[in-house]
Amino acid sequence: MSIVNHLPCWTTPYKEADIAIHTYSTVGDILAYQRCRRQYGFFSVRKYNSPAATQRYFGTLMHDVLDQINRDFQVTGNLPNQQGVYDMVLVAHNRLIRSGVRTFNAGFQRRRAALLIYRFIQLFGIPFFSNIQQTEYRLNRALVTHTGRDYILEGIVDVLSGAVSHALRLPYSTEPDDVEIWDYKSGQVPEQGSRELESYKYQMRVYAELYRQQTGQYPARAVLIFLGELADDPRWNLANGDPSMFPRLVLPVEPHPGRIAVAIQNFNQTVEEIEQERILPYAQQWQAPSHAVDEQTCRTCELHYNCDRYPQGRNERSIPL
Amino acid sequence: MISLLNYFLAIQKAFNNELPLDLDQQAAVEHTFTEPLWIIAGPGTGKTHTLVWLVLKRILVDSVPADRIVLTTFTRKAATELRSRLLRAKQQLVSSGLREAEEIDVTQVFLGTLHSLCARILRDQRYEPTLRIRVLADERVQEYFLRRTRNPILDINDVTFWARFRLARYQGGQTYLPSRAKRAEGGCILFNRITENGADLNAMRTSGDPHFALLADAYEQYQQNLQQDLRTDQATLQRHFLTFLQSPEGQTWLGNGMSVVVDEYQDTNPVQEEIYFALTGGLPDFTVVGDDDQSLYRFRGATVESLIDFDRACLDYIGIAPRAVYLRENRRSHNGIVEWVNRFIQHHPSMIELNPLIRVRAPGKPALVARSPINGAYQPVQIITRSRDSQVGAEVSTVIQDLLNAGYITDYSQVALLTFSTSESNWAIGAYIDALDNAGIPYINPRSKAAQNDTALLEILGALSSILDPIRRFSNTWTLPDGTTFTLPGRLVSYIQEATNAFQQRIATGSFPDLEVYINDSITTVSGTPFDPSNPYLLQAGGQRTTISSLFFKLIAHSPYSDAILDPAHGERLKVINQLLAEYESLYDEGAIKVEQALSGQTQTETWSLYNLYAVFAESYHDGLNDSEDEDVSIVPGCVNVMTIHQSKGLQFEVVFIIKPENTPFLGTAHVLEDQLAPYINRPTQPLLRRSIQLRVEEDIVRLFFVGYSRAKRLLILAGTNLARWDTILGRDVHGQPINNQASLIGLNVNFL
Repeated sequence: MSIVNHLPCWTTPYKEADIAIHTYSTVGDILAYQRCRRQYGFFSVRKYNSPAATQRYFGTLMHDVLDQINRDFQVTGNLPNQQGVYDMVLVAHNRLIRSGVRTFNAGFQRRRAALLIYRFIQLFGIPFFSNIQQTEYRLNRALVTHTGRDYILEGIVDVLSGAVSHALRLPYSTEPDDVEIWDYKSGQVPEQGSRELESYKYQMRVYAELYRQQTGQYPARAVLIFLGELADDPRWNLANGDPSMFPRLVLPVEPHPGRIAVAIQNFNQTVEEIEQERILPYAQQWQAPSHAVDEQTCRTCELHYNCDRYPQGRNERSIPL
Repeated sequence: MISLLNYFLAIQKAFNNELPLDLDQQAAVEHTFTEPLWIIAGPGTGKTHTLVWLVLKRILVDSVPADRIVLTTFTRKAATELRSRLLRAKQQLVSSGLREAEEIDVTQVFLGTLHSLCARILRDQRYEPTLRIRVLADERVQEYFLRRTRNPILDINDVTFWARFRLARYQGGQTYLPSRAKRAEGGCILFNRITENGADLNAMRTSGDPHFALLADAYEQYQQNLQQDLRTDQATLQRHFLTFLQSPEGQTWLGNGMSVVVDEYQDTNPVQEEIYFALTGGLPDFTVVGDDDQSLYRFRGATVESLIDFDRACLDYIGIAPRAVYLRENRRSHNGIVEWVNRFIQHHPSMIELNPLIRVRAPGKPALVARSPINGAYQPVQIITRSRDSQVGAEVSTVIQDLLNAGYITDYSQVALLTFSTSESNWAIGAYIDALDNAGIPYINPRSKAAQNDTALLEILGALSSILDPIRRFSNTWTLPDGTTFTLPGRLVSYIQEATNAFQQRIATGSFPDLEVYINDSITTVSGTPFDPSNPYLLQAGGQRTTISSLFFKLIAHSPYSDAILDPAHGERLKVINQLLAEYESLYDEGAIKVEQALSGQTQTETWSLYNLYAVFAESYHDGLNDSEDEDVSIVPGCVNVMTIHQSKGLQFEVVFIIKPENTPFLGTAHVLEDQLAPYINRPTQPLLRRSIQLRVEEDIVRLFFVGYSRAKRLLILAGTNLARWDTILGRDVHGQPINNQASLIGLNVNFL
């Protein structure tokens, strides 16, 4: 006898769905997805593990040391000398290596990090550090896409600073109660109009909106600082402590409401795309994008030996080991 | 800030003018926190629902800033769901016109598992001792760490040491030393319990008990190694956090204390209990929610006493007794199922304790009251027994198909098969899985411990072995560089053999010429590259060091594995092995494969590199590897969810089969350790008296099955082979009589299929 004969007055249940509101960050999700859907899907969503951490090493090293310098400064009011910076770089390096972060040519990268950081604090020094209000400032906000989908937008701002332009002789003016978002980039400023530079500006606009949602007003501006610009020795020697000799070092991104709205709209649209991708059948998810992907992204991607976006990878596949 | 009345009115408005809170839930939400709140919530009584409205009330009515609230739960999935429900509830208030709700930001609440919050807060506060610290992902990685750091516990060759903690190997009535891998596994259990309990190492050393002196030394070495390598395990991370809270910077961060809300408090371990009380800053703004009858994680160091004795703990830590609120209205299950679980837990002899100094259940706990709209006039508890598992499995499959065909369920995921162990072995539920396969019923069993047998995963190991060990050194006696000789365990050798054979057979089909060429060329490259003692690494064409991970990615770029990664089963299993590999490599030479000169003069993979690949990496998963689990999805749609009962906690299904109920928890290391470590623990809330070890084992069985039974909404079916052996899992009738016979069960309105 079938089970159903034993179940009089059974009411058919409706199928309950899990509620899962996802969290998205600008760099880790939206820009990563826009750069390459396949790489994002495999490494960020499915969580395959990527051993290519060299890029992260240098950026992380720079951030860690700058953060340490700030923390020390807030306590002592002092900034380190050249040897002090190098020692701090070494400590941060050892910490990263001990925790399993990989790199190669570490000596060169350490020296370069120490040089850039030392030059940065020589240029901006006390006026900059004394205006820092918070570092690693966490921003979270629940948002809704145009289709009504909930998500949480998350970001961490490197530095939240008071108005420092006058003290730093930067090419823009500030009001005394201005608040600025500063973000360190360890490389040089990308070419004007490049995808990379636009990505950085996009990130800053999203942070500006997050900041507005959290505090009720936009920051006075977001400031991108390209520490790699300080590697130019001849210019450094000529500069003699004058930041204006490095016009590409600092890039202010004004909180233009129209541009911010466009960035947020794009963010929402990308969240939708990612969510749509998540519900595709497994085999159809996270395929190589139809748009071009930059060479560097492909070359450092572990999936490049078999990817439609990087046909030459299939040749490399046959090279032994 | 709004009044409590306006808050309730707004909720009511959002729910068609009906307040979605029963009187018990209302009492919890209204609590004013002049004393801590002790919510004891039976299954299906709306625990999460109550928590959500309580937290919003704290923010909107009590003006507690969202970023001063710590809200923890037990799993990442539960945290995701809680966060989502909190956001939805806030939006419902906004939609109902509560303007003040628009201004609050619930994402500012510290919400997550305690582990994740500890890590986040330590990182955000840049607490010096944990800067850039890396958490060993799980017990398996912790075992790698013990192996890599050669912890002295691995060298304890005194079988009585292992036997006293029930960590020895037992076979044919004899007790043997555990293998090195099992010693690492046991070592991790011992170390974690020491950390969680804050056991006194000096007392262990001076106890005169040589085993504890050895253990204390090994533990200390382990902690030094963690520090040296900037690693931490989950338990030590919590210790770091507790130390942080007690430090000047921690005190600054803590201010006047946080508003602390803890879900699933019955599965809290001692260090977590200390952390929660520390987070309160000694104030009574502390809510715990849980159900002692659903405490399942003793084997991970949890102690149900944290919930049962919460009143005593509050007096110890804060000096104020809590207010107890019991949530009793079950809105989940058919009244017959509620009746079944009430009888089971209330009349079970193992849950009745006459000694007034010992609590087995929360004091004053009432029975559940059935309030579900599911009340069809049928027998919601049914039993299938046959003489063989295969017959029971076939019957289970028929029932599932009949329910679907009749439209009684609309998706396979409304059915769960719950059991103690979901291993697909003969001992466990292999026959049931075979029956599902035979019936063509889709199912998912992520904790089957069978992923290691996946063809793609097996062949990848075979391919790695073929490249790095073409002469199959794995099957010989190894002479290690330190002069010792060693033979890999027989089962491991068989597994590697199986892997290499599977791979060679794949190649032999001739269908994958690119892969064959790549493998052969790579083998030649290893042996043909002149050995350079100054750079003894296996190098790629560009001079970069070859790692096992880099080989893995090369391999999955070749057919057939390039197709396998697109398949949900193979792809997810290859991911599991990739993740495991990454953790292994982070501890072993950054994954770089070393080479050496063989006696033949040719270059070969260095003995240690190969030995570690086999004896540590492959050893760790060859006898049981679980699949990956989606962090967002609790119930996988479109298929029958086969789960351990542990895994099903917090979930509910229309139809629940408890399969193979004759398999139950047994006396293990966790029970033994509670007694063995007791003399070295000085925790104020440590119970003065515990029940016997056998009774504690029985408690675990009862709680496990209580959880299993209470997952069912419409239908609960027990399916197994030997009714006579079900005494403990069936319990007693209300007169205290055994019911493990058909007549008694029929008398309890149970139907036999």
